[in-house]
Amino acid sequence: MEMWFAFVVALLKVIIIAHVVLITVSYLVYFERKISAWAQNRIGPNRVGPAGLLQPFADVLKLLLKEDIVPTNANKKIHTLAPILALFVAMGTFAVIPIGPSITLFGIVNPFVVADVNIGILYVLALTSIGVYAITFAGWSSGSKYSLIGGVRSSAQMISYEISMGFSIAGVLLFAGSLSPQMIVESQSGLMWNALLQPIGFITFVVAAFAETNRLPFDLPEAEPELVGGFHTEYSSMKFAGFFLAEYANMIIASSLIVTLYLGGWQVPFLEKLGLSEGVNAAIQVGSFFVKMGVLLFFFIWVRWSLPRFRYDQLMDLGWKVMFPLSLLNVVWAAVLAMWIK
Amino acid sequence: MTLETVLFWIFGGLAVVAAIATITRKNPVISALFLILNFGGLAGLYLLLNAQFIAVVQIIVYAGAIMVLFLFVIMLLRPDDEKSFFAENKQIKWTGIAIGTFLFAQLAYVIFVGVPKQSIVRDAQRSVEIGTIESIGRALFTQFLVPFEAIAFVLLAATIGALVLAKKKFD
Amino acid sequence: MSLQYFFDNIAMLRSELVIAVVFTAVVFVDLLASKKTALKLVPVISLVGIIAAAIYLLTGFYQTAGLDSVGLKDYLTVEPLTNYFKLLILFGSTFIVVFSMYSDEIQAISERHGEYYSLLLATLFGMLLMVSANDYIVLYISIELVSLTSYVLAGSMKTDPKSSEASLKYLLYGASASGIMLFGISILYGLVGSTSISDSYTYFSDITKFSITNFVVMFFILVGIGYKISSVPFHFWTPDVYEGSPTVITAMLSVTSKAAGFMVLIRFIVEVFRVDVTSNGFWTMLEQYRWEQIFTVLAIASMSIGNFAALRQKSVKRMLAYSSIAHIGYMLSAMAVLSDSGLLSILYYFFFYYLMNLGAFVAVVYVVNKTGSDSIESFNGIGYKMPLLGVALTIFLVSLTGLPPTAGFIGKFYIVMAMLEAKMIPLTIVFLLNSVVALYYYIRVVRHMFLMRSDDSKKYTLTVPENGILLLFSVPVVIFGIYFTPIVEFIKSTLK
Repeated sequence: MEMWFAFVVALLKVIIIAHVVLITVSYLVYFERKISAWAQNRIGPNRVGPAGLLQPFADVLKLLLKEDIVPTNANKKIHTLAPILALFVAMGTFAVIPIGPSITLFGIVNPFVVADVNIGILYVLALTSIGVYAITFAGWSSGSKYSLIGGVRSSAQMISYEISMGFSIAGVLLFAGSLSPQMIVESQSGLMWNALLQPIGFITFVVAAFAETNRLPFDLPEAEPELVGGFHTEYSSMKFAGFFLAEYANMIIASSLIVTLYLGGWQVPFLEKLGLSEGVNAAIQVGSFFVKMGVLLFFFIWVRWSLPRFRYDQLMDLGWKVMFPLSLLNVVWAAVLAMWIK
Repeated sequence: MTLETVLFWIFGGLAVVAAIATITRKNPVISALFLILNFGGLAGLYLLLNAQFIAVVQIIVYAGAIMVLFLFVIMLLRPDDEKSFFAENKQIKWTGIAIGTFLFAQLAYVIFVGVPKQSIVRDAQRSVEIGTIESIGRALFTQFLVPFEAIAFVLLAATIGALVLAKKKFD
Repeated sequence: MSLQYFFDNIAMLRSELVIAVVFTAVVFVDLLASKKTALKLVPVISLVGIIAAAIYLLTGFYQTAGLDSVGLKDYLTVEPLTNYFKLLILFGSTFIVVFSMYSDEIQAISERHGEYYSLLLATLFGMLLMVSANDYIVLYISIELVSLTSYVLAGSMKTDPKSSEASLKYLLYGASASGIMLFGISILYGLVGSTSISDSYTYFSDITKFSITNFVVMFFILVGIGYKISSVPFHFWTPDVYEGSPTVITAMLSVTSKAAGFMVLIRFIVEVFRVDVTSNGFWTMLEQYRWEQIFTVLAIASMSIGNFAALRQKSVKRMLAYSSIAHIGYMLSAMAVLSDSGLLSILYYFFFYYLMNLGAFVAVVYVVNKTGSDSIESFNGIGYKMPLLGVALTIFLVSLTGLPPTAGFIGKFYIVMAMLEAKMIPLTIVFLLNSVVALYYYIRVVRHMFLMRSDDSKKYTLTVPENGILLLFSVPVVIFGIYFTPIVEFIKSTLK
């Protein structure tokens, strides 16, 4: 019986998370347009629904109804596979991100995460490394030079920045003593946020996260002036929407990872001093997770509309000559600090 | 059939089918794709054996890093048509088949005949403990510290070596 | 489990530690110092570091006590025997660094000096670890370290297509050989459940577990070792790689890396297949694995193929390559005796082989420097143009042949004695016949040096330190041919 119960709960969690992510993504697009309008002194979408709030649904419907064009030169199977892979990776990562404390429900302790696995962080890294293929395959299978260049650029960029990302995470792991995201969050109770303890690692991780999500100033794989649309030049209709969704889902993952690893996850510092009941506490904590994530998402969008794009050699120089040594330095710093504190 | 057996057949079948597809596809990119799938199947098998760390590393290192490099080379170099290559060098195909058969026969022999029957007592608890990252890390940093550090030198030397071979001009 | 035992025992890895530090220091100096200083500093640091490692090694040469406690013992062996091999390797490496400083081939790539010397030190580190390895993982890692760096060093003259060819061929052979070895090791791990070399003895000695799989494993590991010492039939890479590599690296491959490989072979045989030592020094082996026959075949094949192929070579480096295969054959025939005296004769032989082979290579380096070629014609008249070099090279070649009164004779003498002790008459006869064949091609070089006239009348002169190095090798070769007791006594003491 208990096994079935656990199964149903897990399924419910998956469904909830998937929907939350999808709706967040569609409204993230809306907010991106609104914020860009604000940054450029425009108004932004305001026709569909009150204040343009129904705009995302209109966008999705439009994309669904468009004709799906596959170039003659393309390798059709892989061309179809690529956006599916991108979405799979983007959605799969959410499984291990804890958005709240464990709560007791019907006598069973339920962690507020789909799967609390003890190799959670490695799982995230594994999925990110698979994510490279989505873009590489999209670039290659389209049979177009712009796509291919975009795809190759993207894989080079992601591999280069994965290194500093991994090393930044190593600093966090040194403090938490565990690879489970839930444990990492718990290790940051109080104001022991990793962002404050190891600021260098925090900065390198954030920069690497920008690069991994292919957002400006690291959006060379789809640099419009040079590559038309980069790896998704030849995509249309729902397949294009797949990449589009994946990009924004990746943004959400990146911000929730930053929150989990560096900003104390769902923890609100010194909340237990208030002496509230467990339910209220949990609600506040889940809320705080989303607030932190929202701030970071705003930051992502803000940066996009403020900074120009890197040149390719600058990107590589930054990745290997600045980020990599800095993240190594952070590991040393974290090790010394961890030894001193413990 | 327990869940474990079912999963074993799924992952094992996936790995075998993907491996066969890897060597039969004409297009090298598709072959690489199937090889990645094969690594995925293997990772699943490792998970069934409670070797979580190896499973994830299999994905991160082999599927995530090494195969990307392979794909890079394939995509950028655009190798010539393999068909014409094999048409010109018939003996290579037969050599390959011979070596493959030999290795397969050997492995099959080792697994089914060569190893004298021994009763393997599987200590479930212990196998769970061994597979965790903590125990692997502990082993690496205590018992195998010297080999572990030696690997660091291998990597450093290999990096320097790659630089020497790849860089055209030194300034 | 704490790391305490590790720090207690780390002093046992004296030379490795020093070399590791020096390696890192060279990398840093090359990166941080200005180009000019780095060029001067890097060889000096390497040289001083290697000598320091050798001296540090000597301070604890006979010390084995600390290792018995816990920890390192599981996968590293430190005993006088391994220390002897380490000393040989450090000794060889010292001179390889010195030769590099005097080799025009290496000076021509001065913009890559930092990389060159750091790779040289990394190779050295790998070889030291290889000698001590008592665990298949350590063994594999160290062999990889040596191989990876050797591939690059062999191709360090990038402008020369021959050097690149050597590098690539070496890489292809090396990768397959170490792949096969790793495959063997992995099967063995599946059978034994442990990666320790000593542990596999328990498995191999169990008669109920005797099967063809054991032979396959044995053969696969032998492929890896055989490739490292380039014994026939794993020798195919040797001539091309030796010819294409810079001469200094050829010397390194034929001397230091051989010593490390041979120590691995000795360790593998002694730890895994030796049951006991009888009172008169013969080894009781696991009967079913027939190492005596295997070694006899390998030795005869290596000696004969090496010597007969050397007969027809036009390039002196190629000739020395084949001759090094033959020398490995000589040592393998001492191995076939499977006794303490056989092992001792290998240790003697290695010492003398070091002197004469390094000497021969440094002479070739000088000739290549002056004439720009290593073909046998370029040796014409060298004996008159550079008399000291001519005489010294003659001494080395005579010693390599094994004629008295040189060190090479003493080495061969002990091997023959060991074989006769075991009444291995046929192998002894093949051994002696091969030495006669070897005489022909070694003397051919002498003939070219002294009896052939060169076409041009250029004058070559060697500087004082260059002559000093030649003397440093040629004088001992003669002296040890007459008075060798201290060396023999010293080596005997390592086997206690």
